[in-house]
Amino acid sequence: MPETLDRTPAGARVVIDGVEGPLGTRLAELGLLPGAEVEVVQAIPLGGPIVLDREGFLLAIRRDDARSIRVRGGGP
Amino acid sequence: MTVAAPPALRTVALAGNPNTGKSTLFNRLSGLRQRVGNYPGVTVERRVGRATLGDGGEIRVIDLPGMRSLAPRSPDERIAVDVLLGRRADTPAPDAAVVILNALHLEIGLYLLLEVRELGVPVVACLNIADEAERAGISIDREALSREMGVPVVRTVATRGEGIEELKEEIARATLLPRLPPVPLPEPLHGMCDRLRGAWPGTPGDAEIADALIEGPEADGIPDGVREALRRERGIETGSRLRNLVVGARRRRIAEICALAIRRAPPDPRRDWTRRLDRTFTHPVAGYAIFLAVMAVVFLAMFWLAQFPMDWIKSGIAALQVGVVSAFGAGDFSSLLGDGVLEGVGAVVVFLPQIALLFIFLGILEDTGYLSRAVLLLDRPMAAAGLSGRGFVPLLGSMACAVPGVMGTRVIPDVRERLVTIFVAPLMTCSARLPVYSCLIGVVILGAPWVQALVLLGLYVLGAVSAFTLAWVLRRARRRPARTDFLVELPPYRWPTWRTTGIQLWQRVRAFLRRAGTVILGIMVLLWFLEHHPRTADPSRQLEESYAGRAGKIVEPALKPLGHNWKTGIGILTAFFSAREVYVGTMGTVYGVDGAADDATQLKDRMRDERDPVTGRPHWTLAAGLSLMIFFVYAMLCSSTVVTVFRESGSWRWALLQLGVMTGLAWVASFAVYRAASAAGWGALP
Repeated sequence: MPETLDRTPAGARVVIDGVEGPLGTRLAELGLLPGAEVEVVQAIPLGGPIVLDREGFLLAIRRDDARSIRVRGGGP
Repeated sequence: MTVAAPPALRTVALAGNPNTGKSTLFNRLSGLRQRVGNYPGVTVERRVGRATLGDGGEIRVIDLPGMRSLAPRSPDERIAVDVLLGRRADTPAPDAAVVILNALHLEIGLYLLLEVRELGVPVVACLNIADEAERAGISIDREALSREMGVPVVRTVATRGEGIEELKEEIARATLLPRLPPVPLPEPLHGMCDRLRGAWPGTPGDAEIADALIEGPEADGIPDGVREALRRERGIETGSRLRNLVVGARRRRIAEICALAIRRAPPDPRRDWTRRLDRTFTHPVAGYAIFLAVMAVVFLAMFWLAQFPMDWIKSGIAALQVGVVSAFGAGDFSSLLGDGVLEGVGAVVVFLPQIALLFIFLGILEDTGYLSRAVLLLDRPMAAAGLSGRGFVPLLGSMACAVPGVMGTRVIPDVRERLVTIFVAPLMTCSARLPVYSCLIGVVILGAPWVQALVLLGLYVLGAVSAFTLAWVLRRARRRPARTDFLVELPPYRWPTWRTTGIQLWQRVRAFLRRAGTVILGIMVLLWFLEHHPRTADPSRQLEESYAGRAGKIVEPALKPLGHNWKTGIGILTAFFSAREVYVGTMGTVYGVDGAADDATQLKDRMRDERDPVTGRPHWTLAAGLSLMIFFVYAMLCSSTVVTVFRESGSWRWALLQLGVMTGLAWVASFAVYRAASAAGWGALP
């Protein structure tokens, strides 16, 4: 079971557990609070950002930032 | 206009997340009756327009920069908050605010709506992009939404002008409502904010103080004087608990409202379409291939398609010059008008087609949603230089002209990253360098056409590599590693709206032409004077004996070690004050190519024939030519860019530092190349 969002494989749905650091407020404003479900849509090649889908809203975040987002497994 | 203004012109501010169609709505409300400028002292674009209401009354409309919340993270957002709160002396305090919501992602936009309503300003909610949401099976109960939020809710489709009249009615009504006292933050934050307010310089809003409390005393942008007080206050609560108290409470409220007001149909074919396209456009192979193809098209347009209108401008100016001579005779006046004003202003205006095409393409790429995908594809490669994917567009634009490129850095929210991007943008090879390179390559590179093309390509690559290297160095130079807030929304793919692209294009073009007609015109008149005074009897020695010629001789000692004399000195100086390509025209004058400065063959022969007066050896050797090409790669020979950098960075220090660094780099690199090439035996006949 993946622990942080940067290790979540593309296609997986996970639930956000918590966010470290100042990114937290930004994500919370966008509804990515602890308890919110997101889908990892895809990872941009060459170690680029990863694309998240939260109820149809597509948001890209850097892999470094994704490391500070703790998640737990949701449904497939 | 002599019509008396109404007693008090009411003002409404448009606030909204990025990608909500806010600019399109602003254009719908105010059409071409808008002023675009900068907020004084900062690089944030200020857009104010006038809208005519249904009853014939007028209203002032302020288009605020896009923002996610009232807790500002970028200069743009800070300005937006200050304007909303009526804290900027240069902008009237709004009587009401319109919060524009993207109906596709209502739950995200409601956050800002909730915050703006807490400020106490009368609010109208505008449910934009309603058609796409309906097609996607999202149905929104406007009455429920209006009841729960306590604000009127208008359905609009700004791209087609739907709902604009109703929106105007609601705006008119809202601007007459009284302001309510702001809703205080929940305790203990409210008390903490009150205690901190005294120690804080300026007049901070609760949102700012609360934000500082949440992020902690070490966060960016906190005044030094309050760090200790913040630390004391924070002893009571942790940041994440405070965050949950404010942001979490709002979010829970939004979840309740959404549960009441939004119904979604499960299948969502439109979104799948976007996903399918994304799988191709961000594919490791196909994605980059498509990206390169798109860039190739943009380049082809800028360098091939633009050639036609550029030729028309050139021949139009040539015709005007002929007309001037026949109308006023061959006197001083027609020389000033023809050689000074028309020639000089023409040298700058000729770039207009390229700049316009660049903005058309950027507008289309942004409207369709492709641009944010390109930003993602390039984020990682650009991060290697300490930049981000967002810096890519300004740097690409700088390959047409650094002026729009530097202006394009406004899309970068991080201040330091923006400054670094501005700093390196003029190193990208702009199209004004192209005529200079062609001229010099023609003179000193005698190989086959493919060899000449290879040299030209090398110069382009050198410029780009230098820009990225310098960015890397500048980002390393900071003690603290730069943290860039990188959250990019990917809007669904859609067809471009010509109206918005057209209006924005018209504004850019107008601003460019206005500058050409004022500042540049003045510089050209001055330059003409310096080239034609004091008068000499021998016209072939006029330029050499003029003030400009003397200035060229003054800088000659600095150019000697690079293998150049006063002739190139004049060329460089005139290039700096007008545009780089003017170097070629100046060389035409210096070498006495009569009349037609674009008579390239004649100029090439004259330059090749030049001998050193002391040694009698040819002047334009391979070493000399290469050294000057390298000089043009690095030197900031463009006063327009210097002024633009000053305006966009808000400080002369940055602009002058850039000028200094680029000049230094140019000299050192040029010197090194000249020495190395001479040592390699390329100092003889080319």
